[in-house]
Amino acid sequence: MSTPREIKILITGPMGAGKTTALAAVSTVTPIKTEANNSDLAQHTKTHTTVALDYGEVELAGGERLRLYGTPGQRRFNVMWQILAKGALGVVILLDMTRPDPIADLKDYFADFQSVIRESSCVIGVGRSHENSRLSTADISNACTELGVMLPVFAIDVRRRDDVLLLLEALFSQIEMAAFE
Amino acid sequence: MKRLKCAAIGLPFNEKLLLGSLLELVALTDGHVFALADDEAEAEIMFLDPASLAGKAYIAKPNPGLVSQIHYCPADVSIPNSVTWVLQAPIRFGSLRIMLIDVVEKRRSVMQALSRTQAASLQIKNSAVPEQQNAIAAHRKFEHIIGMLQRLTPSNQPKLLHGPQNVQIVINPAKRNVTISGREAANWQRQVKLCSQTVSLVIIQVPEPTPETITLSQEQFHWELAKHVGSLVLLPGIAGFETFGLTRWPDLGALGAGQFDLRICALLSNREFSIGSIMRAVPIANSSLIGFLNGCALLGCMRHTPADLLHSAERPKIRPLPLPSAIDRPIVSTPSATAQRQGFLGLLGKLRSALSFNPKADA
Repeated sequence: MSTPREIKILITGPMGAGKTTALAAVSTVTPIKTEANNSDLAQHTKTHTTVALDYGEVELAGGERLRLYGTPGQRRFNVMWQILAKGALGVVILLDMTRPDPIADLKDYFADFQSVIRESSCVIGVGRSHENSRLSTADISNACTELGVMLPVFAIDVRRRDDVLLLLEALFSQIEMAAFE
Repeated sequence: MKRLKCAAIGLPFNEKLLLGSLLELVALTDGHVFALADDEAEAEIMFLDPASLAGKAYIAKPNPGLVSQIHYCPADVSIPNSVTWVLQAPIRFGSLRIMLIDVVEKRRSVMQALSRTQAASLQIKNSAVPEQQNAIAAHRKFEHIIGMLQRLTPSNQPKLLHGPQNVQIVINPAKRNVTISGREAANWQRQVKLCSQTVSLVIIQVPEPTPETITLSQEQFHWELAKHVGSLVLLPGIAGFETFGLTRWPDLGALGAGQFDLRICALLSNREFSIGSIMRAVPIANSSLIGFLNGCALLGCMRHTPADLLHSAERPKIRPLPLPSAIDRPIVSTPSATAQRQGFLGLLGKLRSALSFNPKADA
């Protein structure tokens, strides 16, 4: 078996959860973005949103690399989701606790990416957790358990590089430990 | 034949009579029989009505953990989640017997844990150098603090836990947080460590926050206590475990995670492993691993299959448990998985270096 030369990680989640910001926080190259004016202001008030994909990478000496793909958040662009998910070794699901129903969001993304989640690794980053007094990261963990998986759930701020690195490290740990079967 | 002494407090007279008769009929296959005695002090299993005055008085007493309490509840009374065993009125033979099987099972685990902890303490004590003896003493105090913390309920008043070097550590059960104030507050990890010297809690008024006040969540506080103070011996609640697994990942971001913490979580979320197996998979010091396991136990995310279930698959199950087949098999990787892992290990190592992932706590 040849030595793997790259790892592909997918970053997904609802609009405004911080996918583009998270990707930019760790990419060592200027991220490629496909943004357009946000025509769905009911979902989020930001002016621009991703419509196809975001791409970033961490390049290593010798040509090895970590490829990071960010999905568009809106469901109407979900044709891209499965294309981007192909070959991914891990999925980062970002949730925004100020949205009306973060657990419903989790279930939606879990349903769409469940083959990748069950076959490889997944981590959930919960943003703006302090702005929601009704739900905690433990509630999100419990929701995962109800879906039949035990996933790491961390309260994070995607603007902080260390927080995004924590998510990646959780994925790396799962990839490593998955071999102990 | 093992005879377990039972007593009843606050039950209606007719129910107490019925209970006495039913207990005489219950005999378990492992030789346990039960008898209702008059002497409450000798009871190993206590049936009590928590709504009665006598029941309330009994609950308020400190329980050394060796008396199993079964709460008797009339059908129209709501059952608090914190109670382990609830016997609904009217008492029926079937439900009573199932409950007693569970009680005996739990008592067996507790007794095994207790005897192993005592044996381990004795073993350490016999060969202990002064430094270890200090650690043993610190651990006893740590257990004491944890016992006190676990008895706090949200309705309790704030408590002052320790005040060395003009530092106040106040536990606020209602807000589920801990505030540390004073000149040395910034060095809060050291202050939490010093908590091991505390042997009592004092009720106080909540002090006004100062600019130096640091607020930790209760979970952060427990985690630090476990990692820094309780790293010598496993807590009594998990000391008897042969294998360890997780019911959920702790929020390692909020707790201050290290790479090893993440790897152990990734390992234990798949299935249960013994301490030896964990150390073979993750190169971590024994004391750090003990601290990690104690921390997970305090956060309530530890799962465990009793040792007897590991060795006897035929044993009747009272409640759903993890599959014994998925527990602590020797760590062996399939050839393809090993090759894939080896390949990714190199790449992941390089990525870690390139990204400068800097764990906060891998002591």
